Amino acid sequence: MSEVLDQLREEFERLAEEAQTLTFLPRGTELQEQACARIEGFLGVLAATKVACVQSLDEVGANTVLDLELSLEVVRAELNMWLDLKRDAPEAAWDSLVSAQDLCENAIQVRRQVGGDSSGLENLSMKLLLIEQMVFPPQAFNSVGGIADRRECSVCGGDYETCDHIKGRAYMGQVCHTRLFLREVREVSIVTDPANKRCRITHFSDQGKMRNKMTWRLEDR
Amino acid sequence: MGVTVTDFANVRERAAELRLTLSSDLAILPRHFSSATSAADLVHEADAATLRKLLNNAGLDVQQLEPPGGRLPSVVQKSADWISPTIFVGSLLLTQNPYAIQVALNVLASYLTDFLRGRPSGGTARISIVVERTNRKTYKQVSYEGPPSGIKDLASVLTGLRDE
Repeated sequence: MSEVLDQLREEFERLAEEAQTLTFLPRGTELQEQACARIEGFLGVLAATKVACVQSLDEVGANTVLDLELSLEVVRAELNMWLDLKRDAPEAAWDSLVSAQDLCENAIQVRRQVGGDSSGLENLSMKLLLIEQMVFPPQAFNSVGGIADRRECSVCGGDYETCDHIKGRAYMGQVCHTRLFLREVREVSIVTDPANKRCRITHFSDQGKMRNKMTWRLEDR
Repeated sequence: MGVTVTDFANVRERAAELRLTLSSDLAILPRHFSSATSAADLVHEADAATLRKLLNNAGLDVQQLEPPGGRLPSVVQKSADWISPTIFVGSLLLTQNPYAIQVALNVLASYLTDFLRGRPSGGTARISIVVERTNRKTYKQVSYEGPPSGIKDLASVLTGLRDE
């Protein structure tokens, strides 16, 4: 399996470098779309390899493939963000940016877990933050604070309190997350650094219409 | 940024008042522990279970304070900050096994280093540790705010408070 992983890593590096060259607004739209398609195709190869690793109980291999998958998904999400902006779809672009940031956060943790150098991903994370601040208008975020009775582990499906998995760590090619079962919502607040950047104030009333905070257009709704 | 030391409630008395079982010298305290009027006011921080697992995996006997036969709910975090659960360190552990304190701090520092590395908007760790002093009459809360790399240096602060 290690030979296969070495070959995949080589292909990954070539593809990632090529795609990252295109992660700028002025780059050709068709080139960016082609890069997304190539990433999509290679993600299929990676997924099949990960299944093989899992079937042979090769956790290191599965997590190594996960590292490659997440890193490419970050680049694909960034490319999608630029494509969304060109399509005059800034809200979709925002969601793509947030996806890229979330994926990058996971990718950094997994890269460090498998013993790799995460500095390139950390630089990418900084770039994504700068894009958020320089390309998009300032956003106001909502956030829900509350109480959860139970957290379900994404890896084993069991109770996170009693299972052995740790949030943010990779197990057999998947990152552990928790699914919350809310008992009550105690507050909805406006925050600057929210748990979820997709929870943002999208419109406010203005001149009898609704002003879109992203596009600044007045909309009937 | 830095370390602040303040007085804290008598942890053993508070645990008894709130009908919580405190059986270890290393424990994770719930939010509102010092001010709650009953266990119904208590909630664990969002990452209390994660911290307990990390410390357990490092070979430490750590307890998450819970009512007998029950479990406290946990907070749903509204911001991206990592809010440290308050860690209680009993006087016996502090005097007889300071190595365990260093291990716990190293585990916390390592986890937070990785966690914050993925968050360009903030590299600041905020943690809180309550120390039981040798005479078992006073308790001090050590609050730290700064880079994760500074967490391991708290060991000397904690042991310094032991019998000050």
